[in-house]
Amino acid sequence: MAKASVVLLPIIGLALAASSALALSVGVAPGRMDFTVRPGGTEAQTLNIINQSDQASHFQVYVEGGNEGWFEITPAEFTLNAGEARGVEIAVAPSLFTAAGDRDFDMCIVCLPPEAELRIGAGVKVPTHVQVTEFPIMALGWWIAIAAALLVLIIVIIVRLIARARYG
Amino acid sequence: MAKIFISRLVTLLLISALIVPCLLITPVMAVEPYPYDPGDSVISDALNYLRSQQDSDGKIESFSASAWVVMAIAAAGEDPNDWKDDPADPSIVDYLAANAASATAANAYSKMIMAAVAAGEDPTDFGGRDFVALLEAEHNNNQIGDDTQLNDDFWGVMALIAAGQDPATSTVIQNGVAFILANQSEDGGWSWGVGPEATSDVDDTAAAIMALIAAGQSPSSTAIGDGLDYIKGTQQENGGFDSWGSTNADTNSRGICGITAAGENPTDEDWESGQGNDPVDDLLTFQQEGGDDDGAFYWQDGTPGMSAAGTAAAAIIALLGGYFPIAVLEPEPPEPGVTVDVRVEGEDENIWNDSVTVDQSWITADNSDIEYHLEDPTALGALDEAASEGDFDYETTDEWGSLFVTSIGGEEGEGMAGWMYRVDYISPSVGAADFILDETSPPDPPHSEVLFYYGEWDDIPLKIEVDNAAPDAGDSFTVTVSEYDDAMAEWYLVEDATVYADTDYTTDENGEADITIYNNDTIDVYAEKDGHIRSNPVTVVVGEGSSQQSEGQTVSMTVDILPAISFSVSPDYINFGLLGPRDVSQPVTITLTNEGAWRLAITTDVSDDADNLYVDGLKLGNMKWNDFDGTVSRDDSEEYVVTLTVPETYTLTGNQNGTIIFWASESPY
Repeated sequence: MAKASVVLLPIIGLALAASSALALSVGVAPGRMDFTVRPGGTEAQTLNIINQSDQASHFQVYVEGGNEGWFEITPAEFTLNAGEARGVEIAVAPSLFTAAGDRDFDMCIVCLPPEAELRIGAGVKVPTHVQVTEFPIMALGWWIAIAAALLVLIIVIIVRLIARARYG
Repeated sequence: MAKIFISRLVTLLLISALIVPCLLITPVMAVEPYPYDPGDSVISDALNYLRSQQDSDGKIESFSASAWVVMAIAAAGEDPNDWKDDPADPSIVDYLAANAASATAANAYSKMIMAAVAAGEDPTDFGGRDFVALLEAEHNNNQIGDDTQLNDDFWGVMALIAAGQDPATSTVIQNGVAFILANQSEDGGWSWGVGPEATSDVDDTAAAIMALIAAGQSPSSTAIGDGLDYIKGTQQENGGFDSWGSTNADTNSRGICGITAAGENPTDEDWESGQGNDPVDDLLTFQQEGGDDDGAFYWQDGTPGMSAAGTAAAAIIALLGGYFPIAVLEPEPPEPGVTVDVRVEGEDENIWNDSVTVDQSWITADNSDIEYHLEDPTALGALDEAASEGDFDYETTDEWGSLFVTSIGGEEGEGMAGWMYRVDYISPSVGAADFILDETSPPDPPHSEVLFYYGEWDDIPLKIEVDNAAPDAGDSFTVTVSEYDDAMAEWYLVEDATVYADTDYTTDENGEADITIYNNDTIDVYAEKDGHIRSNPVTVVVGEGSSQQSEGQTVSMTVDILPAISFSVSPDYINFGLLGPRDVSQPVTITLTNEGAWRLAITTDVSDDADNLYVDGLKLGNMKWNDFDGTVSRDDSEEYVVTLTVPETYTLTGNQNGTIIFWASESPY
């Protein structure tokens, strides 16, 4: 019978002195975001992030909820010193062919300690609502007008070409 | 031949006569090497021990111990900024600065100030914090920090002096010293706290002595003498000082520092016990030889104590003959010159009324364009400084051999009227360019006000005094108007002067006007009378002061806004120790603190590169991490216990890494 080998797992790390020096802290404002944007348009807002801990921390910002491609986050990763705050620009740009309607996302802000082992991160999820409006009728009419003008121009050119071919 | 032999024998005897007594005397003259030099093994071994304890982040043992160690390093003549675990690592000073936020009370501020100064850093900007201001903000009830404790006063006084504050001018230091003196026990010692329950101890008595000496108390004063007597009274036969029934390294070190601060030598006969032991003898018995703690000082025999690094630091300072504060910033030299109030009363209105500091001046006579260098702080120099600060013009002439003022603010002399000056209401006997402030007499120095005024030769400035400059609304206050007669060298009360307040009043035969204002208001009260110069203004604040802001005035407002969502997690990593399959780790507590404005809902995510070790085995409380659902209210904290279970069939070995993220969002409840 094979002996069960005793395998010890040194899951190492530092002592768990729960001092403030070892705390992570993330603060965000606003606590929720609302965007109203038309297909093909862009709306940008600023999300402020503060490192309220007493040590420098690395932050990542990303979005969850599908259609992540609509969002441009600048910067998406950065380091804040103790007590430091910065604004992150969140730009939402649904494509021209997006159907109107409401979508909900989570803007995720997370800071993680640099160490390995079982590291403990602090994250905030900011509910982010995006209302995609109908394509504005004025803009649609403008596009129709351009298309109609182009169509007329093309017809005129074709008629002239035919006429020139017929009558030399 | 015999002569040569006798001559050599005599020479030998003479040399022997010189050398032998020296050899005999040498053991008698051998003295204890206290104070030790940094190069002595007692000190170098202790320093080496501290070096061996340094972490890669610069810390030695703990935040608190690191501050003491910085002071010990400086006392040993080394630069704490050079103390790094590795040349590329932060120093112990960097560590303190990076963790400056960990100091949250008066004693911690004091320690940070003394450590920063010892390290050559600025205690008003160390780790981004002004520890001097923080400590001064702890001044309350005419003492420092907690008014039930003395300990924070001892160290607070020492820290402020270390920061370069002058005990002669610092109210905080003076109040701290008075509080210390007022709470000396009848036995001559001092306790940690105040009140009848407080009992003296050597550590606090020595700290009190160091604080008082630093503040300028004479070593021969009764307070210091009684304190030293108390310390002496606790001495045991081994030379050390009693602390709860025995001696220990920390108490010995502190006691030695107190003795040294008072100008005494702890190895002198006066500080020997009946068996001839002194406190340094006993302190040295706590130093370790060999092993991992070689060079360390244990708190007691066989017991490292709560802070081996702190104990070693205290022993190093004591054995070097040092005491606190280890280093003191030189007080900033006072600004050269004389500070004096300057008031310029024009014919129709006041032109300037504020204080200036004047040293030497360069003034150009407008008629001749000659520049005069007034090497001393003069009355005219004060006007020149006021004109510079107040952005008003003045002109002088040297037509009559000295500089005289001909116009101020565009007002030129005309007819019998012109510009004159007085110092403290008295007309000096020399011109303004020759009147040296705080030196020339009359009036007797020191001088407080220089008044330049436009008027005729016999016009006399008025002076007003108010018996209550902060009356409640509806309460009466009295304005008294007087004038100084140079010829009689007397003050006289002025009748029929007009006093301007909320409305106009007239003084009676006693020079008084009683005024009652029924609304909260802030008013500049002054007086005028024909043939006199407008008086000084006195600001009267009625009730809570101005309640209605007139047009053009501003009200400053401030508010601190919390982030909507903000929380902290502590600690930021976990060491579950050494585990094997089937093992369940010791529980580890994680604290989540809501630092934002909204109540938080908490969820978790766990990931790992450890074959799902953490994903499958991590629990918060009794539930698996992905079932966890917590809330943390505003200004509140919650503790969650985390355990890790290693599956029986787990196959990986070695360090296994994972991540748990606590996610916060607004709680819907």
